[in-house]
Amino acid sequence: MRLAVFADIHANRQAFSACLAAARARGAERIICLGDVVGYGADPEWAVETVMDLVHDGAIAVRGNHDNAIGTPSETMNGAAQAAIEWTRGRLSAPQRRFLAELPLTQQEDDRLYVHSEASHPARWRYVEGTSEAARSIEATDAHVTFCGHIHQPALYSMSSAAKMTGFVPTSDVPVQLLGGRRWLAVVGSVGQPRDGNPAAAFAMLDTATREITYCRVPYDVETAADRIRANGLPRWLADRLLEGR
Amino acid sequence: MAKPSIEPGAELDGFAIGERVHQGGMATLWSVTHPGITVPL
Amino acid sequence: MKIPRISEGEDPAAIVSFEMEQMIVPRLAGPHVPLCFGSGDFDRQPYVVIERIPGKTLYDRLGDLPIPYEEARVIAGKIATALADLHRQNVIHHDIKPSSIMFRDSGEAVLIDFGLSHHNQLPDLLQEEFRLPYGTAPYMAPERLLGVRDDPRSDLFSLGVLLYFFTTGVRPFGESETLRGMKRRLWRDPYPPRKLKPDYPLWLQEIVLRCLEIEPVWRHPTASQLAFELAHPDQVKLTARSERLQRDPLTTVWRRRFNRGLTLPKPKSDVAAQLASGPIVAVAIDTEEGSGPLNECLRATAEQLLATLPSARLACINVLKLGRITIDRTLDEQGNNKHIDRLVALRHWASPLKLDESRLTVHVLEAIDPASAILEFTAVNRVDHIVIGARQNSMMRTFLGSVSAKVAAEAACTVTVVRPPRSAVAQDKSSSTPKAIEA
Repeated sequence: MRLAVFADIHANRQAFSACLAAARARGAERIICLGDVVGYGADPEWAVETVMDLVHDGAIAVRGNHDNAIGTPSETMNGAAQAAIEWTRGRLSAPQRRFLAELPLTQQEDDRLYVHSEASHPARWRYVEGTSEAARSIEATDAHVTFCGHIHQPALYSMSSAAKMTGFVPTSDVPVQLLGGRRWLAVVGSVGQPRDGNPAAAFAMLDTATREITYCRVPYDVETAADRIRANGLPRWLADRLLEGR
Repeated sequence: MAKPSIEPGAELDGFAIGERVHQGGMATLWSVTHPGITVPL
Repeated sequence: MKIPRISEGEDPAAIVSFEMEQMIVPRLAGPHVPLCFGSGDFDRQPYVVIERIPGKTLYDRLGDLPIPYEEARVIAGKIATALADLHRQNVIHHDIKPSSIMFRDSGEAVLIDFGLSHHNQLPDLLQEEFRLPYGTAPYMAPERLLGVRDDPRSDLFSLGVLLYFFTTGVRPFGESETLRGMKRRLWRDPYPPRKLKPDYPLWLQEIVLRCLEIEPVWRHPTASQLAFELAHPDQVKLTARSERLQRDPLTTVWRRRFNRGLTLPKPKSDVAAQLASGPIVAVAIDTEEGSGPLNECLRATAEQLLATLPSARLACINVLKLGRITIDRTLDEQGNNKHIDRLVALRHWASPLKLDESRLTVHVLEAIDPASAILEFTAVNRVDHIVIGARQNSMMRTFLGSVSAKVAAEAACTVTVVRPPRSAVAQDKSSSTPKAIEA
């Protein structure tokens, strides 16, 4: 089965539409959403509605820290993020807010674990910045592969049977076999706000039969997404960073 | 899943195992045949 | 079928190197690697099934060393060609040594054992697994001792060790297996082969010592360029390297030893980008009367290409067309040697480019069919880019067929077809219509 894994959509309609189309073109049969459906971007109602429909049709979704902040205003965030959350909260309907609040923090499916930040303490929203954080996450689960997002930069970590770690920045469109002898942490890049210097939207595909993961990049209409952020009075920096991918 | 045995005459994923060709420090090489493959393996 | 020895579990390297083979070997293609027919993963029984290459590895020749220079040149050329093909597939072998090399009945070198290899687009499981560099000590490039695993020129160093060993019978850096002994090669150069064998050809010493340069940047830019030099020993640009009889003076050695920090290699390279910066460009030059304007355009195009590619090399080729039944092919009516005249003309064409001699070669091919000769030359020499002029005179083209059209249609690499600006051919009305669609 082919899975398409999306993380950090951040209410970016143009990016998520482009990624969904690209994933379907690649034969995606199942959709995984790793959280942060909202925050930063200008189309939260559309984004939540779309994910609700996907979940209704069998997709798996977990909760991200921005989704969480809609219902839990105590969340500590930087100024721009906080402003976007407050604006978003006013835009969402009660059922949409309830959908986000009720998303689970983790989901397990076969030998795969889905989580927004990392597996050791999913509610602490810690970033996987290198092999030591990746090791902590892998050690906290018995899954063969854990998928996470949160840091908005794609990476692929593995732990050998001797607990040695390797880290790797994936090359787009080159499938990597997730070897059975080691355990893996696949950090999926961000759909709606990439921060690795490449403004193209990011997602990943997994073929469960061959165990091959493919990181994908999709160019999308960044200008429109940025215009909509400005037009809605959100902090300008949130629009500018989309153009630069940082 | 049970670990299949590797010895002459055994079969693994359709490959019939023949004689042992080489015993190295890191790996063992076996001659094998497969009904669908004509190239010597 | 290759099955890793893991039951004893003594050596974690056996597992990791098997995992690397498992990832890399199924992706490789072409005559220079064994074909892969299947693999199994560690959760059941790990294995890879590869094509059986008949015959023995080069290790079998160790009793015959030293072997004749010409034989060594041919063998090393085949290995360099195989490496070029491997590097093009984003893989650095990292364990080039006699026991990793076999030959097909058709002649091509086949590289085996990819357990230490690096794939530029896949996770490098060996990068962080072991603090010490893993490999075969006598053949390991100096930068490997500093942890660099992503420079394809490391394989050129190993091939240089092999070529030195096969032609002198002596390993250039001995057999020391200790890290301390291996690290000497970071500052200590080997004895020049000519010190060991006074009859050692200059061109061969030039090639061997260039492969063995401590800094990768001083080696051949790509395996293709090394293969090119091995295929054309008469055109190897000889430098001071070729005649040396002594190693570097101790002052140089000490400076290297205690100033390492200054020459540390850059942290991350991109194999594909590096290969792309050192292409072999072939330009086909017509030396006949009246080809002046076209040749000037060809030179301008070559200049533009070379300006952006400091490691590129230029091969100027000219075809001396033979009549189907002509036997005399060296002397013209005046008794001049046509072959040498053409070589002189090619060098003259190239001189305004002011290329370093090490980047320029000239070749006169003798053939009945010029297009086929150009295609064969570029295939054998793994040329990356052909620059060729389109003949403007349609009468000529009708009689002779278009060389550029055939080359552009059948070449395996990029072809640039150059045409003089319209003003230069305005007089030639008959050529105006078909020109645009040619090639």
